Amino acid sequence: MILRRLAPAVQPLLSVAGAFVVAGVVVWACGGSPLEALSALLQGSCGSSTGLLRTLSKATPLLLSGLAVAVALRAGLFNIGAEGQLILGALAAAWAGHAFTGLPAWVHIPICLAAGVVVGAVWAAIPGALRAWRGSHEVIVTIMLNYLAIQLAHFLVNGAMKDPVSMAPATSMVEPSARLWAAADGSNFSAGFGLALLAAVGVAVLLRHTALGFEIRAVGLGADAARVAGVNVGRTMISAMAISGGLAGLAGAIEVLGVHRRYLDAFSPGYGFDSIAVALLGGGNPVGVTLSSLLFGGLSAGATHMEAWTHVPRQIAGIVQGVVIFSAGARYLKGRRR
Amino acid sequence: MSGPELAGFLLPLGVSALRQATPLVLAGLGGICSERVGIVNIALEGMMLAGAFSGLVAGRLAGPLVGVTVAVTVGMLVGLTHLWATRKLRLNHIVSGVAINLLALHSTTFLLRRLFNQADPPVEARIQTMLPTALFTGLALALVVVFHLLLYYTPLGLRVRAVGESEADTRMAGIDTARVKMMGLAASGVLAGLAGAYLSLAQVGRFSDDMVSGRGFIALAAVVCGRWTPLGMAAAALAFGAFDALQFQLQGSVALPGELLRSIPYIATVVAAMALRPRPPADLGRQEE
Repeated sequence: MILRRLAPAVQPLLSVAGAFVVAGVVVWACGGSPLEALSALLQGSCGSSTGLLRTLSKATPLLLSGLAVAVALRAGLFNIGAEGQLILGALAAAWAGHAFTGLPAWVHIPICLAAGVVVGAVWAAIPGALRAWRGSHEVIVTIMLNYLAIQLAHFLVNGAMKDPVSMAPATSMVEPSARLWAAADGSNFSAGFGLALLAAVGVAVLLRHTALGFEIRAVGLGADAARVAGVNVGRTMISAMAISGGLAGLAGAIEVLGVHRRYLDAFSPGYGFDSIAVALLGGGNPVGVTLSSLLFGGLSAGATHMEAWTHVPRQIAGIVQGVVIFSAGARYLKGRRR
Repeated sequence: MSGPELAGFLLPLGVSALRQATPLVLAGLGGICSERVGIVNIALEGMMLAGAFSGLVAGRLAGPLVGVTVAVTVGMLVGLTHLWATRKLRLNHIVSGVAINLLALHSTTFLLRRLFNQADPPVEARIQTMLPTALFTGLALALVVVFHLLLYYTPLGLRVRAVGESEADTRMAGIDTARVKMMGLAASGVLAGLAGAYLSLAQVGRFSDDMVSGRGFIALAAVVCGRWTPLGMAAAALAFGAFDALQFQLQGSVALPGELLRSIPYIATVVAAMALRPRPPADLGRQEE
C-alpha cells in the first residue's frame, strides 16, 4: 500500500539523480571536482539558516509559476507564456504599490496582489481565447506574447512609469504599506513563500474538489470526449489559461512586494521558463510541483555559492534542469497515455 | 527629402535589412524543413545558439570555413536529437524543444566561462577574420528558391509534404517516412546551425551570452506568418528584418519608440495566428503511438 503510494515518486527521483550524474560528468570533463562542487552546492542551499531561507525565497516564484504551467497542462494546454504573465503581473503590482497612498497594509497588500493576478490572468486569457475560438496554437501565441510583454514593460518602465528621481529603468519604490514582511538577513525570504504554499493548496482543492477542476482535467484527458459529455471546452480552456496566468502574475507581484520593492526592468532571470521544468518534474500535481520547486530553488541558491567557492560556473544548474525536462517529460506523457 | 537624401536613407536601410533578415531566412527554412515533416520546432533558438558557439570555437582554432562546417554539423546533431527525443523517447514536441533551448543556452554560457573568460588574462570569444555577410545573404536567398522548387516540383518534396499531412497514409503508400523525417530534421539543424554561424562568424565576429536573443523565435514567427511556405516565410522574414533595420536607423531621432518597431514581428504573428487562419501541416505535432 505504502509502496504503491510512493511509486509515482520513483521516476522523478531517478531523473533528478540522472541529471546530477550528467552534470557531474560535465564538471569533471571541464577539469573540476564534482564532489567539491556538490558539497559547495549543498552548503549554499541548506548548509546554514540563511542558505535554507534563500532556497525558500528562490523556490517562491518557481512554485507559483510552476503551478501556473501545471494548471494549463492539466487542461492539455502548454503555457509557455508564464514569463510574460509574471512580468506584467509584477509591473501591475508595482504600480498599485506606489499609486495608492495612505492605505493600511491589510488593504494595500491585497490590492497589489490582486492587480498582479488580474493582469496576469488577462494576458494569459488572450491565447486561451484564441485557442478556443480560432484554433490558434497557444504555444506560438504565448511565445509571441512573452516578447511583447518584455517590450511593453521595457517601454513603460523607461517612460510613463519610470521613477523620476532614479537613473535606473525602474518604477518608484512601493509604499511601506504594500511591502510583504521579509527576513533581514539578505536571504530575500519573505511572507510570499507562505502565500505560494497557500496557492498550492488552492490549486489542489480546485483540481480535486470543484466542478471547474473536474472539467479542466476532463478537457486535458480528451477534449472531444469532454465535449460529448457536455463540457464547454472553449470556456474551460479560457478559464484554465486565466487561472494559470493569474498564478504567474501573483509570482511577479510577490517578487515585487517581497524582494525588490519596485519593478526593475529585466528582473526575472527566466522564472517563467524554469517553471516548465518545475511543472513537468512535479507531474502537473500541486504536491509534486511544490517539491520540485524546492529542489530547483535549492539548486539556484546553491549554484551561486558553488560558483564563488569552486569556480564551477553556476549555469551547471541550468544544464541539470534541461536534462530533467528530457527525462521527466517522457515520464509525464507516459503517465497521460494510460 | 530630396532624391539623393532619400537614396542616402534608403540604401543603407536596405543593406541593413538584408543583414538582419539573413539569419531569420536561414533559420526559417530550417523551421519549414522540420514542421513540414510534422515535427514542431521551437528548438530553432537552441540550434542557432549551439551553431553560433561551436562555429566560433572551431573558427578560432582552424579558420572560419572550418567554423561554419562545425556549426552546421553541431546544428544537425541537435536537430537529430530533437527527432530522437520526439520519436524514440516519445517526448511531446514542445517539451523536447524547451529542453533543447535550455540546454543550449546554459551549456554555451557554461562553456563560454570555462573556455574563455576565466583564463588570466581573460580571453575574449572573438574571431580575427570575419566572413563576408553578403556570402550568407546570397546563399540564404538562393536557398529560398531551391527549397521552393524542391518542395513543390520534386518527388522528394511531394513525400515531405505528404508526411506532414499524414504520416500514416504516406507509410501505407510504401514510403519510408522515418527516412523522410530524418532528412527533414537533419536539414533543419543544418540550416539553423548555419544561421548561428552567420551571427558569430560573419555579423558580429564574437560570441556572447544568449547572443541569438530570440531570433530563433522570430524565425518561427516568419514560418507561421508565411504559412509554412519558403516564399511566404522569406517575405515575412525580410519584412521583420526591415523593421529591425528601421529601428536601428531611427534610434533616438524620432518619437516612434524602438519597442514598438521591435514588437511588430510578435504582433504580426499573433494577428496571423488569429485572422489569417494559417493552416499548418495536418500532422504537425502528432505524437507517435
